[in-house]
Amino acid sequence: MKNCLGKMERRRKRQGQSRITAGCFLAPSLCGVLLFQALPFLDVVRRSFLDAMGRSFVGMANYAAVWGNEAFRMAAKNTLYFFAAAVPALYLVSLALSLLVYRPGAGQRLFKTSLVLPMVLPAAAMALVWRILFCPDGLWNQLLYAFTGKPWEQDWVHGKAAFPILVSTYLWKNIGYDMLLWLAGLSAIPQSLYDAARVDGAGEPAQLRYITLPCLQGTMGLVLVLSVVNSFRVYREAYLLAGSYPDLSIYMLPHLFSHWFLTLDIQKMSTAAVFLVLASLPAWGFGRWLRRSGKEG
Amino acid sequence: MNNSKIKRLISAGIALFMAMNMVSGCSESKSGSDWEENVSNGNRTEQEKPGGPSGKRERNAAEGENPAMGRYVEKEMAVPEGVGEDSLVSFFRGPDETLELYTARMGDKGDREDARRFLWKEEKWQEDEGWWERVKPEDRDVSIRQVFLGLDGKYYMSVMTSGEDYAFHLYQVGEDAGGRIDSSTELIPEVFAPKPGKRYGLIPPKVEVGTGGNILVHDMGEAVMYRPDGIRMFAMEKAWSGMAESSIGYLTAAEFVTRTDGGVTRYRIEDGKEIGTIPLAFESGGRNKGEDMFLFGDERGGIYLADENGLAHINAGGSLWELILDGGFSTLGMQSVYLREFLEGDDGDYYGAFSKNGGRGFLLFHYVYDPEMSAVPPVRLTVYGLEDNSTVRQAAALFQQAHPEVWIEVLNGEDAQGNVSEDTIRALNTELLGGKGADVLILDGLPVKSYQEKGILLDLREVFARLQKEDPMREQVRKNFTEEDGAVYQMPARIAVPMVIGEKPAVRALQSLDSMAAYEGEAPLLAAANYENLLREVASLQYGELFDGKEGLTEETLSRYLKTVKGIGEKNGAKTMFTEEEMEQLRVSNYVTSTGILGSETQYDQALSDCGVTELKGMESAMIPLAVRNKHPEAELDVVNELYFPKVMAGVNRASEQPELAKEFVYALFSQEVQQEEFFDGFPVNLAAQETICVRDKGNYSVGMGYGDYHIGAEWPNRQEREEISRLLEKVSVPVLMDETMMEMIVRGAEGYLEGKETLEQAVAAIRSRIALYQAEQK
Repeated sequence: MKNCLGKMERRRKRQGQSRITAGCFLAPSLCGVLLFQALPFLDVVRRSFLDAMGRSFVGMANYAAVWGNEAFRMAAKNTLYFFAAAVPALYLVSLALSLLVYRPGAGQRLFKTSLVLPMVLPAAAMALVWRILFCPDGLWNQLLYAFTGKPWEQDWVHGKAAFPILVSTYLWKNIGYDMLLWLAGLSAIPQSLYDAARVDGAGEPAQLRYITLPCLQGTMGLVLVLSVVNSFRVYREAYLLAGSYPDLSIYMLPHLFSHWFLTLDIQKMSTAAVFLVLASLPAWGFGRWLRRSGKEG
Repeated sequence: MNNSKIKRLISAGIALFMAMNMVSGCSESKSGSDWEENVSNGNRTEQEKPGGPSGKRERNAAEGENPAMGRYVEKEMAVPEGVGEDSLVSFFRGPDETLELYTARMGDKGDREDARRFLWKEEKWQEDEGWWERVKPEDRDVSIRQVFLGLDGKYYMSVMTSGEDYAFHLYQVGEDAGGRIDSSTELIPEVFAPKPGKRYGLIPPKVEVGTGGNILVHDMGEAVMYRPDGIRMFAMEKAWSGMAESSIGYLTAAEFVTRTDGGVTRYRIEDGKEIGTIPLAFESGGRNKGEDMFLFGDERGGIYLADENGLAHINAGGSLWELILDGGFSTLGMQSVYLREFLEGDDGDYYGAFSKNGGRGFLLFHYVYDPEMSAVPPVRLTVYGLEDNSTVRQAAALFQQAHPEVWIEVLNGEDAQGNVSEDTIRALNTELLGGKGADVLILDGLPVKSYQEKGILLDLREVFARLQKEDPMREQVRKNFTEEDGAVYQMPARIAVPMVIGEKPAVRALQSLDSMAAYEGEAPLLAAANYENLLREVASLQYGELFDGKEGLTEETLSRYLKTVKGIGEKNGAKTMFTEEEMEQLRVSNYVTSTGILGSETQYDQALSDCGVTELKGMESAMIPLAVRNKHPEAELDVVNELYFPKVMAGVNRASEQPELAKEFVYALFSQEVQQEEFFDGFPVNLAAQETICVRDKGNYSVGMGYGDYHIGAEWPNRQEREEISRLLEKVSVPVLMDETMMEMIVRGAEGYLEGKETLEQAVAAIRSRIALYQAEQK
């Protein structure tokens, strides 16, 4: 009995020590997050209740002003549309590609590299390529001319096609990254599960449905959160493609933030940032739920 | 102690060290003035200045308890009596190191007559009496250009002959610069003589003579070495310069050092081969974008570079420039004078010679190191604008002289290419939000309305009330920028005026959009321009109708505006973008200005349009329009719809640590002393300064322009014409405060319609939706 208690004591001690070790490793990162993200965000929340220069308390006036601001509504709506269109597309396409790539086969490495390559391309170079493709005398118009026989001078980037072009840019840029995340998830699934399933007569679709997807639930949450985060970064591409006032379909919250900063409307930026965080909470919660249920599964 | 414990201890130590480094790395350096001593790699760019884009720092190094001591101070040398209004010919050290000064009286035609020679002896100028009589040719009149000492120790002189024999001549002068010049002493005349069939020969801005007697002739884009017998040896490339009587570069026994597009380049004078190029000491800026620069050498092979930024030195073979004298602390930084010569003295001292505007009169300075003077004045005042401006620099230089205890730093947001981006404004905003930023803000191009609303700007009503009492300014401008409650947050220090010259009906047609659209004349109403310029020009001229109303730019007004522009464009051949051939044929360019006004008075002169519009930025810019009017006495000359363009908008940062000093600077900026100088950035708003400009006669000053077969010359306006321009300026009362973002939306949105690819309704709808969004952002 004594022996058993001693063992438990030692195990508890070891667990405590490993927690401290983990804490030590996490501390610098945690400090960074606290110092450079959490504290500034608290300041942002504070500023959302103050005037532009932070001199006087204005209560909920900024929230009322931003909520009623047409530009904010339009930017928020477009941002939401972009999430709705781009994130699921990225999610599904990158998953499909990772499943393809995961199977051993000829040209797999080349395929993988070609998908990951856009990640390392500078945004400016990428935007330039897309502009060359879609400007009035660009390749796309020349291609259309070759097919239809009539001259095309459509400025695709500044017209109604701006939204699909931006979604395509986002997919092209991020698909490789998400694919790598899926691949990491796939490689963590024990091969024995597939072997057992095959012995039981399960085909490919059944393996996907009953093994792969349930086992990837943890990765799903991570990919979702990272895809949403990355979708905010699409402003860079949007700005480089179409300038600070693009076609209204791709006018998004970062555009508005950028303009508000130019006119020193920090109170509005802070308020909109709080709105944005509040709106992101469900996505974060859903992602967390997915990861948890993945772990429990 | 076991191994793992040692490892842990080492790890903890390293972590602690890294953490300390991180923290101290973020803190402010206590010796933050290193950059003032050494201009790293020559480029004092905005990013390198401490404290962000507006250069503001928390604490001045000089404010510390033990400020660094010692700096060069500028002492004015008295010019010889009776030559105060004369032209400076040459200033150098003679064979016995005595300072020699050559001056000449300016004749009515700009010729230099009655040259005089002075020697600096016993701390005063002593005239070499009768020198010019001894030297000048007996048989003809000449205008002196340059006297210099060759590296061979002999004196040389260059002159211009007038009349039929208008040519440049170079002579060797006898002992002590005293021998008579005649054909027997003339050097390489065949180089400067007009070529067969040509009226003019080579008139070099500068000539030098090497140790072996070889002659280096500077030209606009190169310097050519000739043997004494006139045989051309080789040419060395230099940066192109249009200056008629100065050229950047100097000759030594072994090298020719000059400015090239890549920086400062050394050439070997044996064969003209390039030895190497080093970057310039300073980013060029200001008046002549690097043309107003002076290079000279020391005895050790080092190079000195002097320009409006200061005096810098680099050792032979070195790559770092050392800042010897900051331009802001001396006349070097002043915009109303031109640097002509800079010399090294015997005792680590320097001499500088400057010409006053127009070449009438000059100033001489001695620069002496004073170890008792603090290296940097204890108080620092920063002036920040997005773009470099000569009036601001002039005000800073004069303010510096009046306040030696203050370090005035003029900064701008231009990058190396002279461009300003939105990121520059964002960086400035970051500072302003943190309660920092420059003390004085030049608000051109900045979101002034927003700054005003957010309380960034200080109320300057006291300053302008005092000015109005002591040194009054244009009432209509003052009123336009005074708020209803009497507050003044910004005020333009200069104004430019759109002026029209043309047939009476055409001039009257500019009154409104409708009259412009309805105009039918022999030629188009406005001269051909690309559509962006045309859109901007019409928007500028009809600013009141388009933007100044209570309702702003309505759908109906926008439609009429676009239709008017298209109507005018169809008549004058406007296009979105001209080809090279079209540019040649129609005398147009694709260059775009913010006002769209490129100056079309010569198009009117050639009957290419029924009126020409130009932007008057000073008396000089009125010369060509007045010359055109003199050719067409029936033409009407007037301002357009009482409009003016406010320039150099000054404001003071409310967070300034020295608001009183900042206000004093603004006062100085609007004072007669600063305002009376002309820098082609607008007319003064100070009434006394305008009167001075009106009285100022630059008798011999003339300009000319032409292309193809067309040419027009113009002389400095006479008193009557100057008064006429002054009267026109009194008529303006409506400031054009164009919103560049909105204008950009109109230009981009109208492109399709103007090219005929979209309907008017489509273009209007697209522009309106963007403008609505832009306006919604600001609510």
